[in-house]
Amino acid sequence: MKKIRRDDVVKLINELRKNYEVIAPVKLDGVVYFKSIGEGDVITLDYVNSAVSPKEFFLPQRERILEFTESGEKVTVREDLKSKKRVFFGIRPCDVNALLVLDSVAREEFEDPYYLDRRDNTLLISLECIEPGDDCFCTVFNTGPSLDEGADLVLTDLGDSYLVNSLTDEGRMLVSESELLKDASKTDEQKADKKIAECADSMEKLDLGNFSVDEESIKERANRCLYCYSCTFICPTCYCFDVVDRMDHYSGRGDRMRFWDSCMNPSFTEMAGNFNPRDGKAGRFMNRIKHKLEYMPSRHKVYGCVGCGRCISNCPAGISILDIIRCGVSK
Amino acid sequence: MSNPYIPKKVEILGVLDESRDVKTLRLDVRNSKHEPGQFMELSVFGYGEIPVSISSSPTLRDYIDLSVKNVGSVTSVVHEAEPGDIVGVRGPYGRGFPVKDVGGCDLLFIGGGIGLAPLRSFIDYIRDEREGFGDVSILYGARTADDMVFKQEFDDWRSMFDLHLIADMESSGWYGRVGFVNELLSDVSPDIKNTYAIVCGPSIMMKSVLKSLKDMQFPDEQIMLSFERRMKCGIGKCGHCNIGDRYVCIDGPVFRYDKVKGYREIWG
Repeated sequence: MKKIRRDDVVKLINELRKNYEVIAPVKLDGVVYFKSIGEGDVITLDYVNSAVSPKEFFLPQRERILEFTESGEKVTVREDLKSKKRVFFGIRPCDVNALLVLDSVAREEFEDPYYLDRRDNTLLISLECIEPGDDCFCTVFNTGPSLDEGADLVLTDLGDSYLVNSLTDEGRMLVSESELLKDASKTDEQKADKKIAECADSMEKLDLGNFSVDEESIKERANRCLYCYSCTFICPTCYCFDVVDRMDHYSGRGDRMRFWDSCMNPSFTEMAGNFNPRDGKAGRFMNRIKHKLEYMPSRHKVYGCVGCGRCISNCPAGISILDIIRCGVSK
Repeated sequence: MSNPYIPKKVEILGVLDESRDVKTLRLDVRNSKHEPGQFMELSVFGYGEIPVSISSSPTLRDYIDLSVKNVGSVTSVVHEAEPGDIVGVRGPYGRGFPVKDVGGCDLLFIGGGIGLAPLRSFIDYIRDEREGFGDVSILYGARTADDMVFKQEFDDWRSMFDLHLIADMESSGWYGRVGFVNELLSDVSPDIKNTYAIVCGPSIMMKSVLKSLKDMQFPDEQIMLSFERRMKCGIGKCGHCNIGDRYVCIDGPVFRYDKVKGYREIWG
């Protein structure tokens, strides 16, 4: 294993920027976001996690999927699907696992070329967690605080330096030329293991083996929902989208856009004639929770929640998916 | 990587008026290898894309039919389409009726309103491949006689199959039965051991037909239901059409009843 001095991490990112577009955490107005780094951006390493999940760099909130003329004579894919090679720096283990969830959907039966082009052209440098945030519960799903697969490189904070572990050949190649990396010692590795173990030990663990949705606990919470859809938009694994055509009749050109959509939106399942197979707030809530905790495991052998806690921190009604999970396992 | 979101441009060969609010687009799609019961995503560029059942049989090699009820913003534009116009299509998608599994058996088709569209694809397939199937009964109901679709087929069907019609309401010129389509089940006496029931229509109709079929002791495994949901992508990505852990677009739209029984959102 290798290690890099804390002060050298930004230098490493600058080295990478010569050949890659680099996405890294920056602090704007006191809030941490991931951003495609340009001149003048100040990278921060001091954060629990980003406010918005990394999914927007793979499945953007809105995206043009087709462009066409009014007559339909010419239809083109405007986005150049050979996207530039990117490095995503600082993604947390929970969010790496969330990308694996999105992958399983994007690769099932029909491949989603827009998502997969970005995904396949992006190397991930993950930053393991040594201190959990207030709403973190990755240990419930075993999606953190450490990471064994899914990223190309994994960094662990040792204080004045980071331990650097390559999980893939591409990860190894990425830093093989850099003189900023030195050999790590056994002591460094032990120190990292200890910090991760301490972090994991301080977090909640639940036995999901006997989980079943407790309908009563969901109904009570669902009634407080304010339809803001924050929980789904901010979620790193929520992948649902809507497709909308736009047409400028003056120029005769139009495009087909896709936008994030939310299953918490009453019209999500509504059809012509006002028929809606999903019954109200409770039905929508049940679907959201069951999708993550029952349908995803049955379909893709993976939980649709990674315990990042963003939906808990951002719910204006104070609804906590962790509470729902607790109710579901303690019955 | 091929891009499944790009529609193929096709010409409209003809537009047929089926009822006061249903039109069939006859599209220049040759040698379609669809299964009866599959659907296409139909694009009207600039207005949107909608999932539509293929209402023609795959035995017809020169075109496919998509029958569209005028109910929303895209379908109203579809209704303005004229022969020669270009639309986009993707598909065929989904799992259709299990044609091979039900071969040799008797078939009881039960349709409501525009729900006859996917059934017609299968019925016309049987018409053209008659020796592969047993007795066929078709029970069809619509709100009024004016809402019945594919009326031009009825004489043809009557000559080969057992056809029963019913309208929910009286209307001038209708001398047939009035009532709901499940009432027609008393007109037929299927050999239940050897019969598959194939049902498509509005949710409330399918629910009541299912109850009647269960009263007749039809096993769950012999009931095929074709569902409609608010599908956007048609390929299992957009998340709109799930019934439990199943997606109607890639696992359906046709489900054997035992495969979806018990899910809370089957009927709404």
